[in-house]
Amino acid sequence: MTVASRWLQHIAPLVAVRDLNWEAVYADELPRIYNFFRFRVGDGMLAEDLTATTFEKAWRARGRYRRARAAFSTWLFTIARNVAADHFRREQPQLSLDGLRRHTASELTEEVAERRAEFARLSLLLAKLPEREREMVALKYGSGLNNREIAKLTKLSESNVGTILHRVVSQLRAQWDTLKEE
Amino acid sequence: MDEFLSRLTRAPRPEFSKQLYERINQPMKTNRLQTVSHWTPAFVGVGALLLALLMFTFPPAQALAQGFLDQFRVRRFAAITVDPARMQQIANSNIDFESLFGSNVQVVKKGEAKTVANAQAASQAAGFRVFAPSSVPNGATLKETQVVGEGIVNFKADAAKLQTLLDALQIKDAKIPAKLDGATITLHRYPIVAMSYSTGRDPLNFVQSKSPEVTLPDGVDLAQLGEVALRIVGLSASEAKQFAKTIDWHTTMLVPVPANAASFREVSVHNTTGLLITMGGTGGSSFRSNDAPRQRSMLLWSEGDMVFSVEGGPVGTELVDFANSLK
Repeated sequence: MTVASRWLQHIAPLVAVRDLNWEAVYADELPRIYNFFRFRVGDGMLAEDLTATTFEKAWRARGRYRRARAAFSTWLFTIARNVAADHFRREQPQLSLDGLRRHTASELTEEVAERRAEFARLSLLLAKLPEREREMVALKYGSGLNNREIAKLTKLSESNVGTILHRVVSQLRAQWDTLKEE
Repeated sequence: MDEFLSRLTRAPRPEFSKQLYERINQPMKTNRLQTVSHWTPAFVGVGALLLALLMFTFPPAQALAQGFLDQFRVRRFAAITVDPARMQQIANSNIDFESLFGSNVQVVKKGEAKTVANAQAASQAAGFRVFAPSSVPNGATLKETQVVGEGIVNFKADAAKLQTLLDALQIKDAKIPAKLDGATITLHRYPIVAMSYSTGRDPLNFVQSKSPEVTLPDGVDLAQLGEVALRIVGLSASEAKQFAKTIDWHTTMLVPVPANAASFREVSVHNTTGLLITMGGTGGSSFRSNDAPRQRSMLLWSEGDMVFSVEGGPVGTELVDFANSLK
């Protein structure tokens, strides 16, 4: 529809460009979407690529967004989840501690390097989680969604989301120190 | 641990943020030229769908044989009442409209948008005489005039994807013309001039352009494809067949109007006949959370080789007055 709709937009402008402030949306949602992907695929260009894909898809599909059905962020995260799913269908996650260490070796400051190293260790732990759990951690701690929002996205009950996240975080906590000592 | 997890978030690189914003910001700017309305997304989807199908139906070889005027150009706008349930069905179908009609899109020429000072400057930039109103609704003031440059796009029609839509809509009896598949379609859009007015209420947008042209390789059955389009928007097989015969598919742009949310009528505009569509109250979806969808109207007409639309919150008669004052 792209080409036809472009034409339609200019000549018979029936396309709904509504009151949504895209600049504000972009500023608010970019960090959340970006960190969702960081928690899914780790640091690096891939997280940026998937973030860009999400926003480009959202922009192209903006005419299909309906406020009556969902908050904008919910709609956007639905797209992000689909982008992630498409990615994982194409490629298996590839993470190794060596690679992550190399990634952190060239950091400019010790603090940044340490932060990156911590995230790299976390990424290794996340990579071992089942798909659903990893996604929920990404939504909760990467994007800052609350349990209710996650429940809506994942079609789970809010209490179920809370239970799963509690269990997963406990597991991560237990594994964290062990990995740190390696 | 919880806090630690949250603490590991990081702001995107500023360069990445800036580049991505710029990449999607260009279409944002371009789309500000569009008039604003509260048409439902389904309506928009069907409208674009039908238009695209109409575009597919122009065989240039036939046009060459029949002369210049037979080339697909908008000479007339006609409304068709469509079933809102079908629109909802399309909206719910999760069809990827982005890739439905074609692949291998090749942008031969991309028209850029730029703001100009006035109608005279717009005429110079667009290459045609720009019409401007001598009368506007009370309180309306010209806010911005923009010109979008000429654009040419080639793409290949994909019958399989169109069949996917038919299957999703459980349309079993419609046949897509065999020669459509793989056909290269060229859309040639001439420069567009868009004037937006502040009214104190909803904005008023006036768009004018030479009619775009669509070319398609010879051999596609025009009426057959038209019937497919009509089936998609909800007509029965017999209705579609009958209706298709009454349409000059080379020059008529069909505008789907949801039966439960909008009304339309033909009006006299600038010594020709225009199509006035009014939507409001029960239909459409607004992004405003604190008000009901307001009534909006759109007037479409063609004159010579030009097409015009004026759309906004003012009532239909005000839009007609606006159009009739164009000089």
